[in-house]
Amino acid sequence: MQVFLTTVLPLIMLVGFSLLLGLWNAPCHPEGRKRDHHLIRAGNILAIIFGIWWAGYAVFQGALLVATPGQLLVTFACFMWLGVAYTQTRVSQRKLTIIPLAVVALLLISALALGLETTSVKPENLVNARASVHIAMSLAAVTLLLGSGMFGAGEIILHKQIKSRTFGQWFHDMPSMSDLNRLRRVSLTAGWVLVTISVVSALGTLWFLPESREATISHLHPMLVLWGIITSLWLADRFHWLAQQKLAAASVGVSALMILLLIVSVIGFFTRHYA
Amino acid sequence: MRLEAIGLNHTTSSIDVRDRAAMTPDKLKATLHELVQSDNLEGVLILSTCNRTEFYFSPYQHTSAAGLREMLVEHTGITPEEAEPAYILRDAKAVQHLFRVSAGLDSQLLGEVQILAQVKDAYHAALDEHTTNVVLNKAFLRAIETGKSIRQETEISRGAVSVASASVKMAERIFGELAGRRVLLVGAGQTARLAAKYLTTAGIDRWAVCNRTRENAQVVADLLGGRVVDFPPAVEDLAWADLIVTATSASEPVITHAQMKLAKKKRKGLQLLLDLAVPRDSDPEIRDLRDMYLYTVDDFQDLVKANLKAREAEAERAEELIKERVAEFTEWYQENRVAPTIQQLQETLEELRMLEVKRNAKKFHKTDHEQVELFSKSLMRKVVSLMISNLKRASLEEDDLGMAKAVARAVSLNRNGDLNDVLKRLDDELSH
Repeated sequence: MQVFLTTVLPLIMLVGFSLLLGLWNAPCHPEGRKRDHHLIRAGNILAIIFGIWWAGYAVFQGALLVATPGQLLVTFACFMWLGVAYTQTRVSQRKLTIIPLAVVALLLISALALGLETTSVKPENLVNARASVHIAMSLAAVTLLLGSGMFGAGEIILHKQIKSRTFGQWFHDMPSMSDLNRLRRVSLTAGWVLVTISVVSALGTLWFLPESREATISHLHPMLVLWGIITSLWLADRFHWLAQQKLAAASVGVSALMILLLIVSVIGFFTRHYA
Repeated sequence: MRLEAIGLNHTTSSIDVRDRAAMTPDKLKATLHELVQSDNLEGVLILSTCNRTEFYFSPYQHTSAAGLREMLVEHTGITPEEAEPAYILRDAKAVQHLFRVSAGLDSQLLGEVQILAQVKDAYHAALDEHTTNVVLNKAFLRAIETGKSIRQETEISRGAVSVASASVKMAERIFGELAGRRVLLVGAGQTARLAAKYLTTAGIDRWAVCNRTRENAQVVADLLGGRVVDFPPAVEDLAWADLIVTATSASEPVITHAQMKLAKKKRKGLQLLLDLAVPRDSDPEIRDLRDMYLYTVDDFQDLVKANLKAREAEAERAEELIKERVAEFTEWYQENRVAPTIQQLQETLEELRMLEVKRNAKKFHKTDHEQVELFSKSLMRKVVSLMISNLKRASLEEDDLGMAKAVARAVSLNRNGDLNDVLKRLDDELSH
């Protein structure tokens, strides 16, 4: 059962995602909507399988899949693909699918390479249940904020094409400006809510669990700064303080910051564990 | 091949001549009936649109060019001089032309989509009046299929190629679904009405209309199911609209930067201003306002040019596909001309088989009847399929109908009437 959950099923999903990536990349006429429709459906089925596998493995393990670096990556991939599946229900869009699909496949490969079993981790390094909820929520927030950055980038590209009257391939193939804007705002709002809950839960840990204080304080300050930035962006978006293009650019900026923080975290992790 | 076409289009005739040659549905029906009475015509079909009038015939013998022009003059309202530049196409060239028409390659607006529906309508009109034959049926069904597949396999119909359709495309790029969006129409002239027509088709149903002459605005508002507002539009009306379309004949800008700036303060979200007037109705500085997109006729010309260029590149691919489809059709036709002989052969041999089985039935035990039936049928099938494949090969590869004639004679039994029909058809084919 362990091998099936940690290796066989993720491998099957990896094959599924790679196949889907190949099919989405295959050249086809833009009006070949029938094929796109089938691919979206296949993607949704993969999302359901992924979600069920993730939940099933969490039940089997007795904790959310954030205990090892491999599990963190696979959780991130799962959230990302669920996000793409949701996006596809709003706008059927080739370009918005291919990039996340490639990232998901890459995350799955990395997760499999690192291993998903918790047996290789020392018991003292395993995160407790409360912390795992906090980490999972933070990961979901990161996914949503990255998504908001991606939609923001789309808005900027389309805006530039419309303003400069260049009418290139992106002009024809991108979702409409309104769709991109709506998706960016939805992911930003959802991401902000999750980050806020995550910060509150971290502060709660600080107050109620003095024994975890050291671990929490170590990343509380950057998290509070990030929360401040995201909150400002959300407020500016909510109350239309800035033009949509500036808000889109700010979303891209926040995404870039998140990616930077993720890279720093990964480097920090490897430095701590393998130095 | 028994197919010929004569027609007029934008390359041969002025709009005035094309207008006179165009037929109403009733006139088209009457002409179809009149033409099909002719002794030399087995089938006739007319494609009549505002841009082209074309007659497709399936004759027993090809008609001379003069005869075809005479027919065109007789059945349309044009003079013999005006019929002179009409194109006359025969056999594979007629098929190729029809396929090109259906794919939009022969249209004034390269790749236009309406022509495909018009070809379908023309075919159904002839079908309803029973004036088509097997050749016309096949040619038009293949043309419709070709028109569809070329639009799917190439990008010949992609992108807007007129200012009005480009306006809608731009609005869709900004707002996505247009249903539920609010439009302020400034002006009530022809351009404003045309833009309104396109936008209504795209799903817009919330309108405010203003015009210098309020009565004209009221007429357009009634047509669109909208309301009339003051001219020039108030800041509130400018703020209300997601999309503003201006098409007045005013010599000074009707919408100023100051007005629009105030309007932007009263509303949130994106706004598109389509200035379709020459000279323009809007202040160019409006372009710099926050969340505001301003497009003028000149801007759309660029979009239209870019799309047309892309379509021209696709046209080469489409022409290649058409060549393939014409070759397939020709192959079908070559095979099909021996069809009556094949039918006669099958019927005769089946008749002989049944007679022989019946005559010898008593020689077999009752329990063997089923086996005899199966055996005789199997034997006949093998003989017939061998003969059919050789007949088709001779017709296709060597263009030889001699074998078909010999077979027709050999299996004619006593049905001289049938034999004469088949031989006449084969002679007609050879005479082409």
